[in-house]
Amino acid sequence: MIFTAESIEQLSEQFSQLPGIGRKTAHRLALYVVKMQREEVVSLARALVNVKDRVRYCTVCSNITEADPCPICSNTKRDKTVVCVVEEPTDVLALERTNEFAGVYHVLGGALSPLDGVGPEDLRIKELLQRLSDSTVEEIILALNSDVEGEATTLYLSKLLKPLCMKVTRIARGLPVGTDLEFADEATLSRALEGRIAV
Amino acid sequence: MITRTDAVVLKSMKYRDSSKIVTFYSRRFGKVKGIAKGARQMKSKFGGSLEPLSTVSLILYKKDQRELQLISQSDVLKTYKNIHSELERMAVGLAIIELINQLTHDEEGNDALYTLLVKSLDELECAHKHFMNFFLAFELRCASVLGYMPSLDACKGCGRKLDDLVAEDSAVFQTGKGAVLCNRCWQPETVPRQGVVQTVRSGGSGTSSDEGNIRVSIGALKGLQRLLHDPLESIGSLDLGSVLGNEIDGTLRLYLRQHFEDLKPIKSFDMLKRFKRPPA
Repeated sequence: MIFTAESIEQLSEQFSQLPGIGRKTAHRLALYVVKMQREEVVSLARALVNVKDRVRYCTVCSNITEADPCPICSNTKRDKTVVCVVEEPTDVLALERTNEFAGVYHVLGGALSPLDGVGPEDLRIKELLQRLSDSTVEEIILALNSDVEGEATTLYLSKLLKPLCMKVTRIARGLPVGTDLEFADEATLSRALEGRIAV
Repeated sequence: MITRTDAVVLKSMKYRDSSKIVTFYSRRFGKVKGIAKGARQMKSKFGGSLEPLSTVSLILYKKDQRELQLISQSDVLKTYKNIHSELERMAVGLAIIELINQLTHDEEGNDALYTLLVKSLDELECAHKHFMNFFLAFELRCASVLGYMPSLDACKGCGRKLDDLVAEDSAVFQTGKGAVLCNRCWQPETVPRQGVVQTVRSGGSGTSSDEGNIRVSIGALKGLQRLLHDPLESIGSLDLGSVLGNEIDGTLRLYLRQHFEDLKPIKSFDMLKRFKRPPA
């Protein structure tokens, strides 16, 4: 589809570079922008530029933030002796939604992926070790995805962290709340059995 | 056509918000790519069955003209708990599935190859040590199943057995022909000028040879012979040592590259070495 206006074509091209947006959706979005009020468009453009200008990585936990250190790291009420290691900033949001965790985080920026050639030096592991060397951390919680990449990262980190004489734990794997046992797949069920706890 | 087949998951990638595109090596159809809709949702019926290194029973909506098949159901047959709980074992398992992903083409069923793959993973799961041997044995046996079995038992020229060549310390391995030539039968003057014999003993996986003729120690040739013919159950008890292991790895890499031109470096195998180094 070729538009008569070059600016629409350019905008559509920019939209189509975003993840999950194909050419048709990009055209639809570009045409929607044409119909928007000028103030709304300016506000959208300003929001985009603000994100790029203001957001940076926290120098302590590598989470995305506007203030450095981030609000979680600078919060005096958080328990700094417990560090929860996660893959991405979205995982921090997910854990914060539980309102259960009062410690601090460390964002690795991904997971080890032997099949894709993502190795330890591609993640913020060096920063984690540096952080642990000069702090009073007592427990590390590995809260990584329960896929092959997450497993590989958990195994690698536990091997690396155990000699540092601190408690290293991982989050439990098993049945999601509200599911029926009979519909659980074998892999999940065997992990659930493996991680059973005394009641 | 709705069809069922056993398969090993080779690769799994995220697709859109909640789906996965999965590559399998199946018993009936060889390598197949499929889409599992909603597989990443917390309460998905696929659960953890579509993770690499799982052996599953699949139900596919299969159309011949379609590159990406629709996965309707996937039941776990084996999960390989030990492979998932030890980094070195996991890296070897991933190297095995990465190799088969590289060496095979879509929809070329090979029952022997599927059996070899599953058997190799089964034995890797049960092994106590020397996990790397399973990858080396798989490389050799995979090439053999695909029609490139090397002849390692005796000199191709005079027929002398490998055991009788021990006094000679080394022999020439012709990677192109997959044959061994003893020093007596090896005539350098009959080889074109660029056919320089290279030694891989210290070179590891990075060496190459124009003509594919490489000098290999008799120990490495005997190691290769055992990796090819010994029962897979006993491969884990074969102590090759790091020097011999590197020589065998380098020889095998040259041999495979000679016959499979598109073969790229096995990332999982390289990762294994990176895992052993402290983070820089």
